[in-house]
Amino acid sequence: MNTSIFKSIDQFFFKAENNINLAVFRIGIALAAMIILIAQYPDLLEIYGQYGYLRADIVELPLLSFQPRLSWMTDFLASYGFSEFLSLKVLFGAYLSFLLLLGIGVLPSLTALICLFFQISFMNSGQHYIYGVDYFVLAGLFYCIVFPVGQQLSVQFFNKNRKKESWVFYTRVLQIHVCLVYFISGFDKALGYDWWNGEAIWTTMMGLNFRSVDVSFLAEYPFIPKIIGWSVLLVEIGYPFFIFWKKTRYAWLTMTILMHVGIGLFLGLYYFASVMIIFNIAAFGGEWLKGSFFKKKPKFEESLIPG
Amino acid sequence: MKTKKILLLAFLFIHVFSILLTNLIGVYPFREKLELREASENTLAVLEKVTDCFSTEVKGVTQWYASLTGITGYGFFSPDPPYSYTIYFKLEAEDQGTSIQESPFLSTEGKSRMTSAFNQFKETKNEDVKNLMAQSMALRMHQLNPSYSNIDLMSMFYIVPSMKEYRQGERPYYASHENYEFIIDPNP
Repeated sequence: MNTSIFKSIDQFFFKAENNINLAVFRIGIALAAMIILIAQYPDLLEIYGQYGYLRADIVELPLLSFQPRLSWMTDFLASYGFSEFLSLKVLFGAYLSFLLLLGIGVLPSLTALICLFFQISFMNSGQHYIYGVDYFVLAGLFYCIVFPVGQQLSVQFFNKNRKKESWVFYTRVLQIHVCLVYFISGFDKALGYDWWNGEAIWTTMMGLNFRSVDVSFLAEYPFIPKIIGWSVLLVEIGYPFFIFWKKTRYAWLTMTILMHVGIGLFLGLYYFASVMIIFNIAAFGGEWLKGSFFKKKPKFEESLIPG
Repeated sequence: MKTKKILLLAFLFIHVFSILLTNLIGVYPFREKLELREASENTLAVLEKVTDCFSTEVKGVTQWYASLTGITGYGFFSPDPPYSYTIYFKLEAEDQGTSIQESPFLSTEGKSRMTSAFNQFKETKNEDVKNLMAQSMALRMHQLNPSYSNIDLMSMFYIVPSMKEYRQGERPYYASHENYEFIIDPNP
């Protein structure tokens, strides 16, 4: 009995599997982090500057002495005569460069560790300005340190000792993380009234911060927001149950991706939506990815295997 | 090999525990429209009791681990989305009259992040810190508009009526929340 339980656990976590999904995850996270960083560039001084909209000394007030922050590096650069704006540009460029290296797979664990340090520093120094996407990028970078994300689709691709397989454990961690994210999110929503009666969709889309299209006509058709609200609850609460069941996996994955496409388009949260789609595809889209990368182009794949 | 597997499973346990505890502590983040059915109230009471089982040290270490690994509360827009919150500035000068201005962010992403800053401002309970934040924002607006000597920071909610109320003719409106008035000394 005990032996069979251990065997099942061993099979569930430590079966060898093609890890193309981890490589796609690495590229996706690096690319998304780069785009998010570039999108902030016009407001670099306003967000992170010593004399920005919220002064750095006020923003950094709650930080403990050991928590990394940009002022450590800007102060250091200032001793070499760098202006604050130039220092921020240098840090911005350095972070972008390491993300690029991570994306192309140069020493991925090390570059991910450096990127994680930059990400935490940017988040701490702009802690009043962060939102969900920053945490998911941070989590993604953390996974890039721990997981074997550099074995495929990287500059080490032609390495003779490359392994295309690793324990499924790493994918399982991603899967469990994503399942918890959706279940908790759906569970929290179900506690209130607004997601059940559609008012949540209405309030959010009519609000000031996320209004990207005029949806005032929805007031005449309250069943539409109600159906959307119920669908969100179903997708999120049902996620851990239906995504692991092979028969419903791809239907659920598709619905979840569509939900994020909707969030991106209608609430303007493009980056958040993109990062969540990357997490979903890496966690549960492994079969899709294997089909895309290997089955359709066997000759190309074979030609890349040395010897 | 066996040791590596055990270590990885230990990592998984710690990681999942951190996600669960972080979310139990941070459940139900938006409390403005606190109208819950009895079942929800009872559920929250049970969850609070669960988190009370863990010592402050365990919670502290978990939060420290969570901050390094990007684990956060996942109750996005939960349980009910809050009303939008915004800040405008009324700038006045004797010879130029009055001008209403928004915050000085240029990019779409900067404006999205500004919303987070407004929410932080709204949720800051420490009045001294809140005053410093207001001063910083007002000072920045003065730097960008040096000819205006009076700066009034006006924070407000944007109230959206329910769908039923909207059909009956009600429309979204701004409701004033807090005001901070600053008079810039021309000869400091």
